[in-house]
Amino acid sequence: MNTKIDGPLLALHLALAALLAAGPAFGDSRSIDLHQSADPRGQVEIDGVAGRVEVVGWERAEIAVSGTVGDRVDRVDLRVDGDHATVHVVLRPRAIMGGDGSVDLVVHVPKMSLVRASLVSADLETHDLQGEQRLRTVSGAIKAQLARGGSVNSVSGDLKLSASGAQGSRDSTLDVETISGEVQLEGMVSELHVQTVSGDARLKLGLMSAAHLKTISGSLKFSGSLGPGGHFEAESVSGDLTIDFASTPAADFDVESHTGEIDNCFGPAPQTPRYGPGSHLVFRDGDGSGHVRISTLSASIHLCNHL
Amino acid sequence: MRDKPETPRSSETETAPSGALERRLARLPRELAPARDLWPEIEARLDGRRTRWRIGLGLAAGIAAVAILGVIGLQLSQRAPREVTTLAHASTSTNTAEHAITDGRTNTDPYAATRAAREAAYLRTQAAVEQSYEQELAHLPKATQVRLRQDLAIIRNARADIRRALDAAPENPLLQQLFADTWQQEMDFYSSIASTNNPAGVRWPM
Repeated sequence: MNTKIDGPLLALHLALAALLAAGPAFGDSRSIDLHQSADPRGQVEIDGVAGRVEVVGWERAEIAVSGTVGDRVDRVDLRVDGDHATVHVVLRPRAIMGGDGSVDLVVHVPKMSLVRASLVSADLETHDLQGEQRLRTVSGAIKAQLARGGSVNSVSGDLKLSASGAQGSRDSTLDVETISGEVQLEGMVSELHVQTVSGDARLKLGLMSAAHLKTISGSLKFSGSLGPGGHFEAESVSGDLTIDFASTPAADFDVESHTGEIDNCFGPAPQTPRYGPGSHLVFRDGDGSGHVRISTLSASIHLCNHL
Repeated sequence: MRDKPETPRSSETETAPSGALERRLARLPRELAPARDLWPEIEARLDGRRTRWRIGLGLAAGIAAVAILGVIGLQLSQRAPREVTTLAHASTSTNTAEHAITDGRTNTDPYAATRAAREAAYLRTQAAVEQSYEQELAHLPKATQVRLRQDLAIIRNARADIRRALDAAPENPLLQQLFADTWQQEMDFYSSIASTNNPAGVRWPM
């Protein structure tokens, strides 16, 4: 018998074969549950691509990873080598029909661990951790409770942070950086660095020793207190700056908007040029031991001393 | 009357028969150790050369750093600056970059060529960083790419605004500070994208 397969039929067979090869792409998500003992004060590195990762501190000297993973996730590796542990999401090569590479994981770690999490578009949430946190996403949002400062970065993901660092402690220095994400930060930090490009920042803080806040076009609202000898710096190109101190800091003030306006509820009236825009305000309050510098190219500055 | 001068001993060897000379030579030691250890002095001289080499390298690195800082300073001090909004062309060749920089300047400036060369080197570095940024950007989700390009435009537009303001008030310290900071923010922007961790090496959309 002579069986002959013509061109279109051959193509159909090949397509079916390819779809079968891409079988895992059509599977359902599956559950994982991993456990490993770990150093109570070790480092834990977590990475992932999409979905959601929640990192929770607990009392046990153990790391546990549980949740569900998409059909494109080959496996989740949990490895512990001395005081260094990694949780790594391994994806399969992309199938013809795509597949789901996302994860929904809860990672329990010893609460004093130093946690480094680096995700792409996965949302990240942390809580009950007492150690330093270094968190980064590309487009995923980050919601974190920070006890000892650290760093939080995103490209476009929004950041919602609460900090409980002790004033004057070196451990409560916090670096926050985002390009277009929005920043919400509340709580206590000793020293704060915030930088955005177009993202807005809302900062409600207690007593602090230093703050360095920079944005290009995002609006920046700060409320908090500056300790004796503290340094406060806020700068923008076109983003409005609203600074509310709980009380007037004893500091040298240098406030300037090159083409915008200054609206202040304490200190002398700003100087404005006879012709043209712009406003400048320089004065000293108390012993002038601290420094407050607020500057912008074209935005407005609002400066007040009551919340 | 003076005594007759003593015949030199060497004359004995000169006058000795050749066989005797060979015997004497054969008795001489094959190796002769120096009276003192010369190695420490040699080593010291070699170290001196190494130190000079290191100093040279350090000096070169210093000059490179000063050149980069000089370019930034130059950016701040230019009276008639021209915003180079697209750096891609700067990476194509030094000449292109130098032409881009020297456009619009007077030929009477004796330092123009030096400044142009320095700025060209800086722009080449920046172009290389930007190239790396473009490669990393391609790994990100399309929506994020669009957003990031908008953000880069925000930084560059902001710097252009500041530069225009500097044209009118070149000595203004606030503007100089803002200008320097926007350069820094652009560099931070590139490094932020370049350091985005894509653990699975995934290309988007997934």
